[in-house]
Amino acid sequence: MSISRTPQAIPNSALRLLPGQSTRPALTRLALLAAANPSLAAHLLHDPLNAAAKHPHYPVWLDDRDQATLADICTRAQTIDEFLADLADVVDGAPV
Amino acid sequence: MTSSVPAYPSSTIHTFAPIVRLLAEAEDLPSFFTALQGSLPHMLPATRLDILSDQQHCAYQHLYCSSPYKTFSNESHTVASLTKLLHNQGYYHVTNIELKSMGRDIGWLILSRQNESFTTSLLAIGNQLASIIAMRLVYEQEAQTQPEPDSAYHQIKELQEELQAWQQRTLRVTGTAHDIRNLLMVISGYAELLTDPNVATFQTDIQAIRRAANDGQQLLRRMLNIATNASPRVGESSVALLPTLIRDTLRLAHPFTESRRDITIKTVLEPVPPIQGNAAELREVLLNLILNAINAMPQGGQLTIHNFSRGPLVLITVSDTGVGISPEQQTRIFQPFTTFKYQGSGLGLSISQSIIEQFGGTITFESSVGQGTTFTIALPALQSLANYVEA
Repeated sequence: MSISRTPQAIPNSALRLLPGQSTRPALTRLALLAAANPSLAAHLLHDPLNAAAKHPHYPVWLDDRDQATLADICTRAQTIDEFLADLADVVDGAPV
Repeated sequence: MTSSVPAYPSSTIHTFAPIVRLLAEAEDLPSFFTALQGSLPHMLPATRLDILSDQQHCAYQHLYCSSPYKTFSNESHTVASLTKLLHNQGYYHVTNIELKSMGRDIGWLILSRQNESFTTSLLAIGNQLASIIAMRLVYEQEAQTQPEPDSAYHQIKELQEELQAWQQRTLRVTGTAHDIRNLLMVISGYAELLTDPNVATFQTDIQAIRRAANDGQQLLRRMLNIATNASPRVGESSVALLPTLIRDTLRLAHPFTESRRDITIKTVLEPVPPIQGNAAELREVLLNLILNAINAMPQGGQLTIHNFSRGPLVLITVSDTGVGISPEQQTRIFQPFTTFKYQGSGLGLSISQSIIEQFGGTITFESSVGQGTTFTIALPALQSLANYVEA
C-alpha cells in the first residue's frame, strides 16, 4: 500500500477529524464518541468531567479550557440532543 | 513527502456539526450505518468501508459495507479473505484498522480505495472513524445484554400504578370504617339517651337511630364494593336537599352535642336549589365536619352551619370558634392520617374531600389560630331543578 499526501482530497467537513486541524481536538473526539453512543452522551451531560476522563473505552483528557467549555455546555443543555449540538457547534468554532 | 498537513482557511471549516447530528440521531445499528453512509463522502471520499464483527472461531461476520454493490453481507470472512476479495474487485488500496474496546477485539474496519492511495490525513480520519464505530458496536452489545429500558420502565410504571390503586382502596376502606364508627357512636349515644326515663322524644330518637343504622349499611356496602374493586357509586346518586341533610345530620350529631352544654349551635338555612349527590355520604361529610368542630372547641364555643347559593353553586359553611389550625398543619389538612384531634384516625377530611369531589364539588377552609375554622363545601346546583328551592 502506498501512502502519499494529497490534502486537497480531504473535504472541509472532515478537517475537524484531523488532530492537527481542529483547535479543540479533545472536544472533537468527545463529540463523535458521544454521538455514536447515547449512554456516553447521557453520562457526559450529567457528569461531564468524570465521564470524559474515566470512560472505560476511550478516555478523553480535557485541558482546563475544554473542561470549562464542557461545564458551560452542560449548564445550558437540557437534553442530550442540545448537548451534542452545542458541543459540535463549539468544535465548529462557535463562541462559548 | 512532508508529514504535516497544511492549514486550511478557517472560513471553510464549518460543517462538522451535521455529521455529529446525523450519527446522534441514529436509534439503532442499521440507522447508524445509514447515517455513516451519508457522512462518509464528507469524511472519506472515494473510500469503501467494510466492517467485520461478531467473531466466530477465526472468521468474522461481514456486518456492513458502504458500497451498494458486492456487499458480502452476512458472509463470514477473515481480514485476509476480505482483502483478497476487495483486490479482485479492483480495490487495490486497502487498509485495516482494528476495532477495540478495553483491550477486547470487537472487529475490523476495512477501508479500501480503487484508484487513489491513502494519505496520512485519510488514515487519521479512518482511525477516528474506527473509534466511533467501536463505540457504537459496544453500545449495541450492551443494549442486547440488558433488558429493554422501555420494557423495564413500563413494568415499574405498572407496578407503581397497581400499588397506588391498592393504597387508594385501602385508604377508602379505612376511611369508611372510620365513618361507620361515627355512626355506631350515634346509635350508642341515642341508646344511652333512651335509657333516661324522663325522655319524651322516643319517636325522634328512634328515627335518628334508624337513619344512623341505614347510613352505616350504605357505608358497609361501599366498603364491600371497594374490596371487590366494583364501582362504589353506580345508581347511588340522587337529588339531595341540603337543608334537610343538615337537619338530619345535626340530629345524628345530637349524642355528641348533648354532652357539650358549653357549645351553642346556630343554623342559618337559606332557601337553596337541590343538588345531585348521595344523601348518606353527604351526611357522612357533614357529620365529620361537625364532630371536628366540636373537638376543636375543648373550652366551648359556637358551631355555626350556614347554607346559601351563589350563582350555579350551593354552599355550606361549618364554622367553629375553636383552637384553629396552625399554618404548618393547614398545608397537609386533606392528606390522609393527618389529625388534629385528641383522638382519631385523621381520615375524615381526606374521605370528605374525596366524596365532595366525586359530586363535582370542592371543600375548602379558612382558619386562624385561637379564633376558629370555617370549612366551605361548594356543590353544583341542579340546574334542571333550579326553580325548586327548599328552605
